[in-house]
Amino acid sequence: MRQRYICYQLAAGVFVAIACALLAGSVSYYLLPGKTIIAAILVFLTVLAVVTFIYRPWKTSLEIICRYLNFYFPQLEESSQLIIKPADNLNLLERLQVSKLETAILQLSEEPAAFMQQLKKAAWLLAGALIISIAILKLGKFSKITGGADEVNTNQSTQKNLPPEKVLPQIDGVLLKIAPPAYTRKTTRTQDKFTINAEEGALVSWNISTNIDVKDVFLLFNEREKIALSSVNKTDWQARRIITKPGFYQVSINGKSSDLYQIQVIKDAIPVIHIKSPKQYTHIDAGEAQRVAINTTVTDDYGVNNAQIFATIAKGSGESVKFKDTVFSFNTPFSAHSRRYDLQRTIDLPKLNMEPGDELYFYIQALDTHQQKSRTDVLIVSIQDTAQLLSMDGIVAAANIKPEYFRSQRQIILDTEKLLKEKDSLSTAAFKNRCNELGTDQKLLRLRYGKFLGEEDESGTEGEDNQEIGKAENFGNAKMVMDAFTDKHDNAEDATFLEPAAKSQLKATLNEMWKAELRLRLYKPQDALPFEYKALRLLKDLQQKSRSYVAKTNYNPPPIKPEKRLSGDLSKIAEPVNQQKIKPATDKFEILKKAAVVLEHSKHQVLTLADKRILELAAQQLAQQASTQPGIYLKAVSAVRRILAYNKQILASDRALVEKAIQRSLPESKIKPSATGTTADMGLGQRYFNNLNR
Amino acid sequence: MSWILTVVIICLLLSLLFTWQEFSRADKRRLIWRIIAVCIAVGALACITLPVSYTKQTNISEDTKAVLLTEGFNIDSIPAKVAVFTIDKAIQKQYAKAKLIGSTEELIHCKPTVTHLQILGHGLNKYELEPLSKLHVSFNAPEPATGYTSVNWPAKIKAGDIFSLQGSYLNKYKRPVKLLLKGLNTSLDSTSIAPGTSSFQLSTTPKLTGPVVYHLLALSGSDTLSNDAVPIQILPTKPLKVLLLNAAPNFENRFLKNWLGENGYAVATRATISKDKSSTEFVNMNKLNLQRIDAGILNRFDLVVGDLSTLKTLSTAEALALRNEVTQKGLGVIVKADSSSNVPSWLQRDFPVSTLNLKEQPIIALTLQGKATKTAKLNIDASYINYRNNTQTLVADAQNYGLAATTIAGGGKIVFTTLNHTYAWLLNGNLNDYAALWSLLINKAAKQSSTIQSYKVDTPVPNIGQPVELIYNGTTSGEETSVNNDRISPLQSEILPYRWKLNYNPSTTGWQRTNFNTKGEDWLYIYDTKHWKSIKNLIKANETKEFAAKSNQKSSVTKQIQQKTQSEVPKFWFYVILLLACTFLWIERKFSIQL
Repeated sequence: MRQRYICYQLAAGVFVAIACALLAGSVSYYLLPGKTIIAAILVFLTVLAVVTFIYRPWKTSLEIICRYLNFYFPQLEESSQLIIKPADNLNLLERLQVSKLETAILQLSEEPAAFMQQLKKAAWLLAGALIISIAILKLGKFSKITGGADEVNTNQSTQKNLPPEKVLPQIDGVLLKIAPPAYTRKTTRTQDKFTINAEEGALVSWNISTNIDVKDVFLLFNEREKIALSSVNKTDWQARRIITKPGFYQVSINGKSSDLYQIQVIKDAIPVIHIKSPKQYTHIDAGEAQRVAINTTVTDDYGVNNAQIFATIAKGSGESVKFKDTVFSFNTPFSAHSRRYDLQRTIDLPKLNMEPGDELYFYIQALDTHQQKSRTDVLIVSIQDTAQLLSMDGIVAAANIKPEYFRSQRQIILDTEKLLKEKDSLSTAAFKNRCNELGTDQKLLRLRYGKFLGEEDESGTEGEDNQEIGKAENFGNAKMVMDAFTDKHDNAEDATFLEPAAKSQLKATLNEMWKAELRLRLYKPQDALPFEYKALRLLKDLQQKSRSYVAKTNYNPPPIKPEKRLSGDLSKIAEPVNQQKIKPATDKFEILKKAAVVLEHSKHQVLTLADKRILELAAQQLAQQASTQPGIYLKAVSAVRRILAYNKQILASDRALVEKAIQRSLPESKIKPSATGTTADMGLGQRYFNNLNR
Repeated sequence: MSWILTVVIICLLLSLLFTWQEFSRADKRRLIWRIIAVCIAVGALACITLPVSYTKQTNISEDTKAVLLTEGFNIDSIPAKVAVFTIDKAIQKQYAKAKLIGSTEELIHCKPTVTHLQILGHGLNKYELEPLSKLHVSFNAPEPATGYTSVNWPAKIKAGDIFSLQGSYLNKYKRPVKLLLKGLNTSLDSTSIAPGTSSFQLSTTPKLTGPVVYHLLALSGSDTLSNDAVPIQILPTKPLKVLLLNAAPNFENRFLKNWLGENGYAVATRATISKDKSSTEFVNMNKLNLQRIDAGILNRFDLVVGDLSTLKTLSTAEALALRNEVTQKGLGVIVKADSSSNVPSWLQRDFPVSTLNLKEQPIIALTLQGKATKTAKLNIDASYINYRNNTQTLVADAQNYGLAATTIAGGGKIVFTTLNHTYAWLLNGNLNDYAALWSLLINKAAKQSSTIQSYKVDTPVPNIGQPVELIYNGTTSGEETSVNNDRISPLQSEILPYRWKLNYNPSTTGWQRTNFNTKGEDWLYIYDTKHWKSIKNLIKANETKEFAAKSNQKSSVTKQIQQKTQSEVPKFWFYVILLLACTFLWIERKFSIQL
């Protein structure tokens, strides 16, 4: 029975291990392509080892088994251990029990269910893992289709998708060593294909071995630059070159050139800075903590070298404004050159000697390992200048003023400040009383503004109009009765009194007033002060908005009336005459347009010599474009070459490729005016018209 | 006759011989029966050798009727016992009983008795129907299948113009059909056709010049239902000669002059700078004396662009010259409205302007005639041109108030506009809207260029193996007219001296270089036979239907319904009789021996 138990335990362990291995395998299919099986086996062995180590099935003693049996079979009467005890050590009672048990044990049906239980659990786990791994594989395939473009960096996977290259017959093998530049911190890699996909500035070295002795081998880049390969024994050829630009190249052996191979350059992206806080414009109101918490993330494709905060403090205003530049660095060290950094820094404004009214401008600049810089927009932090806000300058100068209202909000602030100053010298009752009075003032002000928004008047003037209604002549005047006893929510005039934008701002103002009133009613004038200031500032903004600006307009002066002006003698003044010839710019794409026509003809006719000449010129132009965008135009260049080489049959796919490239490279044609033509009627219509007019 | 006689004599001799043999037999039982049997057998033998026929009254349908199968016929609809013909090899393969003939002309030679012809399938082309004019033709057009029911596009457009293709499509499938316009293997525009018939419009601005072939694809899911060629010729624009007259130098004219000059147009401007002094500029043309404008100067230009005030303050001689040039010779004028004096002018007569008193100039997006999309926003004067009969609004704002309009003035055209600040677009780098607006105005106004020749293809979808009819307008002679350097002879119209008819039998598909005149070459597109199948079938069906209707009217003469015909008795019966007689003789002998 022990043997069987151990077997079950082991089988369960193996099941668990297989399940883990399956999961690991399917995951590693994406993370480590090509090493799936190794990874799966590794995981299998480790999990098996761990599971067996935890359970230690070989250590399962008979006593444990007995305990199990006791637990599950009541007929053993909790005494199965007696059986395994040496018979000599048993006392009389035990012997009796043993003899009873021996018959009972024989009648035991099977092994207890607990033995199977673990096995069952493991089997379920295995089934689950199987389903999940299949799902992962399916899902992975889907994500591969959608996110195909993202995998440029994993060089191996993209090269798998490329069609096989056509290689010159003399070439036995090729080994390309691509050494990425230092900033990428990538190691040198090798490939046996000619198509290059390298980081900007990578050093590529070619090792071409030929199957026969050849005289000379060179690489032709973008049809212009030649690089000769050197060799010791005429079969192994080497060359190296730093790749900085995309394009294409050919291998030429003994004057015979190969297919075109593409060179793609992976450019280093500039670091990306994302500022989470503060906002573009931060305004620190009176009473708020004067500090700025800068929270930002900096990411780069290879590594971030450094990031700093460049700040400028502007003190004073008008002509006496002074600037001071400072640089802050983040506390995080950048020595690891990670791809992503989450950075925080808190700037305490009073420590920088900033006072109310001063402003802090700052931007964050990041540097990546390729020494490419990027910087954010300038962010502004300003501390509210309460003195400025309370001044009446702007209000007096403006044409459209509502001084009464502003004065009262201003007055409430002044009174609050005065109350705070006198707080110590006042009795509690008097303090509370004045506080409450201020709250009432604030409420009245709020109600006054509320009218503009069409809010209900809650000042409690009911009953005043009742006298009017009570008069005899007003009896049955439905309008009057309605007027007195209904709530008028929406007054048309109120609704259109202000613009929606102004309205929303006014609402915000009222909200601030509410909060201020609440604090005042709670006898906390200190807390109310920031809300009062905010309300005043919003009101001032509202006032500024109502100023009108003169828009820029076009203006054509009325024609001069010569009879009234310019009566002097102008006879000796010469009239300016100007003549110029503008040569219309030659159409760069003329040849491509012609080539498109030739291709269309080639569907029905054999190419003539003139047609081929046009196609050759078009091929040159396409090759030029291919040197900058090989991914798009390189296939078309090889297709034109094929068309020119085999003149008898032009493959439809080749023609399609070239046509597509031409359509892509041509610009939109310009709109130009032109005259419509008459019907070719030898002047008959004109004669008819003339005769009609006679 | 001698053959019949010989047979009769031989048969008589045979019967005599056999009768004698029967007589000479010992057993005389059933002698009469045997003699009769011998006579019958010999008689049957004679009938087998000789043609035995009888005359009878028959219906007309049997012999004078014939059926002509064309593409798209239904096998079930072929009537029995009627001669079946076809002119299509593919149909002959499909229905082997049909007799293949070379052309419809051959039909009458093949069966001279035929008077009634039933055409099954989509029908025939016009030229194929013509030889059948003597016959009574009946035709039932089949139900149209999924495909285009009509399609149209311009044969020639100017570079920079929008090419638009319109048509209608019948979709009999349950799911929508996608129409795709392809040029240079690139999708340019597409639309979806819901089940049923619906019209469609596809448009693109071609990037190429010269003879170009676009393709119109109809796709249902991933299946290509049809792929048809859309040939167009994209012609280069010819520069015009423009005269600008201004009351004062201003930005609007300066930008217009520069833009036209850069595009190779000849421009002359005259702007008054002081009393009796004006500044003149010439771009891409020789100097002229623009002090006095007369017919000689105006004759050199296609278009005059001027402020209303300048055009009004021209001297009487100048104004008369301008008016004559416009109304008689077809010169175009673009008048830019300004705050001029209230003197009425013939240039302004058709364009009453109402000005709104607004504090600010409105900034609006304009709608140009023939363009679906609006332009970028532009600052305009709040002066609108009221609509009148005989005028056409070219530019309007969102409320459809006119900002530019055109009318005909004798042989020429006047375009009137209140837009005076279009250069703002150029300052914003918006060349497209500027070019679109001024191209529209200039296109509408410019003097018509005299066309020397034009031609059109009269055959709807010209194919190989089918005569193509061309109509040419202009002067030509036989030596100059050629297609692909094959000379063809033009036929002059009896009524119009400048109209010529040409017939050409194409041998290759694709663009064919045509030359009607030494002056220039043109192109003619020959389609592949599988292009525009549905359209071709519809045309054929319509032409055949029309032809059938005509032939019905013609042959309304009383028709002979019954006719005497000679018909041969089938030989089969005589064989049976011979066999029966012989069997009797054989059995009779067997029985008599046994007994």
